[in-house]
Amino acid sequence: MNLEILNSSQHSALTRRLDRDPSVDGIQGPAGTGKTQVASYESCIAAYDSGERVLITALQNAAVDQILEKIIDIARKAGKPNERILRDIKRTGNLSDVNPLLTGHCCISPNELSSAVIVGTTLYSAFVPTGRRVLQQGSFDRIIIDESGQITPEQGWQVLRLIRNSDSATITAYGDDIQLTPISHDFVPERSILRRMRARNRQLMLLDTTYRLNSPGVKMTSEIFYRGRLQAPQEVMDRKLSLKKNPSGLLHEAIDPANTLVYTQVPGKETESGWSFDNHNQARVVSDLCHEFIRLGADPSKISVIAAYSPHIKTINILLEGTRVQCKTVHKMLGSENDIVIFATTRSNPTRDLGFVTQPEILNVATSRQLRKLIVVGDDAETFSEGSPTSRKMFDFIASKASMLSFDGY
Amino acid sequence: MRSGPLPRRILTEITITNTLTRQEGRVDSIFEYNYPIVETVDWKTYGEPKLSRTDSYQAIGYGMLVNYRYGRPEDDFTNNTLVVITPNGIHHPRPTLNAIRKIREKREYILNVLRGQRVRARFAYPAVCPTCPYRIGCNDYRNNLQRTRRNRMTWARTFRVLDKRQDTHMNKFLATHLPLSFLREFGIAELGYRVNQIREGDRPIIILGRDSQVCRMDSGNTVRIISLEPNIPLLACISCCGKIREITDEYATIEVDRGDPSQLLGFDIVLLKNEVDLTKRDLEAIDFVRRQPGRIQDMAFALIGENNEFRDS
Repeated sequence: MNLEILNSSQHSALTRRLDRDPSVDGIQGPAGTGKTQVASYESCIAAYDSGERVLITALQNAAVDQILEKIIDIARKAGKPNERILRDIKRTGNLSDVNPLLTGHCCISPNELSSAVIVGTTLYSAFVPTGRRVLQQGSFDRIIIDESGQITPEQGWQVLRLIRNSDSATITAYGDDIQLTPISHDFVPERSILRRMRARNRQLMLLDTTYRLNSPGVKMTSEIFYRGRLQAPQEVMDRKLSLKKNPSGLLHEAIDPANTLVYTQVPGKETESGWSFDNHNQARVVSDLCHEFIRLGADPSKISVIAAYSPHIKTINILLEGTRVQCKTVHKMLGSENDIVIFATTRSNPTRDLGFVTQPEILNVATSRQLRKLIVVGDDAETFSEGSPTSRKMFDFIASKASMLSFDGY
Repeated sequence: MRSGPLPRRILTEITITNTLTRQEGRVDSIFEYNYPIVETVDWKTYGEPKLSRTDSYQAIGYGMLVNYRYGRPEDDFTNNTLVVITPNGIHHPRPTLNAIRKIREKREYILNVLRGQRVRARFAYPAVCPTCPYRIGCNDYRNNLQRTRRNRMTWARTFRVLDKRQDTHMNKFLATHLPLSFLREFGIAELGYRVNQIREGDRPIIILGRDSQVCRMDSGNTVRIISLEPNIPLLACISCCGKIREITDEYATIEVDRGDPSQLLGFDIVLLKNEVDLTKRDLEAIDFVRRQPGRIQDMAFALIGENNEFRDS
């Protein structure tokens, strides 16, 4: 298999895992650093070169599908015949929402699954009676857990019954514990597998080259969340948005492609909506920004809006009806990326309480989804900077190295 | 009830859980005389000339829990007198062999249901519907088909209720079967507290202090505050229930909902989460790992960031 496309940190992480050093290992991959790529190569090499049986698992179906697609792609490029790929790589569990590209690989027959060398399923399906019946206990040599920054150790234990009780068995946990954390049933943040390993001074291998964030976003993320260890290739750093027309009007500064990272202060007041919050002023600004981008020739499907609270999402969706702009909460945006990202912080009140938005994990996810441009729509700068130590650092960075705009009279 | 010497200690509103027999009850009061004599006291606000059979069985059931608390066989009532106080007077229900057998039968029946065994429901054959104004036997109940259908519906409902209750008992099961250090690692229990201050009020507030340790609970959690009494099973010790207002590595402030916090003074305190976040799946995984020797257990401990700290505990 062609490993030349891997960068040095991906290569060393892969080598370390293929050498099984140690039996359980964590690989931390910040946004856009190629976790899926490394996990796919690890599975392919272990399965086809070492003859191991590999289980791919994660909390969400989408994450499992993403790795399996990549594995199929790698196997095809390596010259494996189609019949063999169909026989060797299987997807099981809840098959109703599986990616259509994997339809031929879906399977619930225990016989077919026992002959497959790479099986993908969610943690839940690996446990429930259906999963237990179709997947043979103690039959896998290697388990790859993706998104382990969101998985508690107890959830990870559920697949242990499927791993062979031998010295060669191994588990690799891919993820990023500085992104979203697991949330318990009573909405208390819990510690993930990776966070626990880090707390016990276990070395986590960091994939340090991101292919997503351009400048200065990569520098901000690196300095605030990864102690300056994250970098990006020059061509990624220089990536800029291109619009068919030049921006004009009140929003021109925010939209200007030269400003790749912008904070816009939008005065206004939050409104309570049940247990949650909404902010009409911010929603209006977000909607105007999107419409202006579309008017200037940006592809609406390349624009994503992130908001912290669901009612705010609903309001923005109403204002953006008819466009094809995606609008999601921070939690749903995990794992996605887009050219233009607009992040609305929602909260704005006299007590200067910004809620959970200022948590480092939330801020990290919300500000690391963009390929070309990020606009943060928030309360006044002073409130944002006082939210938490992380928001303070972010404010300082944007004020000194990016654009800070005020929409006072908007 | 004894008219002689005063009790050495009076405990009130003690929740006792026996996870082995799946029996739990909140005993109104336990009067401790000179060892090993105790009295199990139950107060009733209503009074009838004769104690009803239900009340009598309830008192015997509490008596069995009290026997468990003091490490005696549950049917040994030699030093445990049962007392029921009503507005009409004092009653002493007799813990006859027949009554104890019936309580055990009912208990076992529920346990079998929870274990998923196919047990037959034995419902009384009603002659008339309790709401029937005519109070005469009617064809509805004489029809066997109708009776079977009704039994099945009642049975299904009973099963659902029991199944739901089983989930809420998980942490008690864990507390009985796992070492305290393990419970702490899972964030189910916190150890090493002592009562520093009690503020009286409608809902008393107790402030617990301890030497600095990393705390794994959060404010808002509902907890059972258990005093570690020597030689008493953990879930039969004096306890109160409350909600954590604030918790740090050094102290915890708890608003008490049930129980008398003054009884906790002078003991080491354990905080046990009342509602655990572990689901049945998590619980089964824990059980699987605990039963595995060697490699898989090593991996499990590596996932929680430990090497083998708990294996010997």
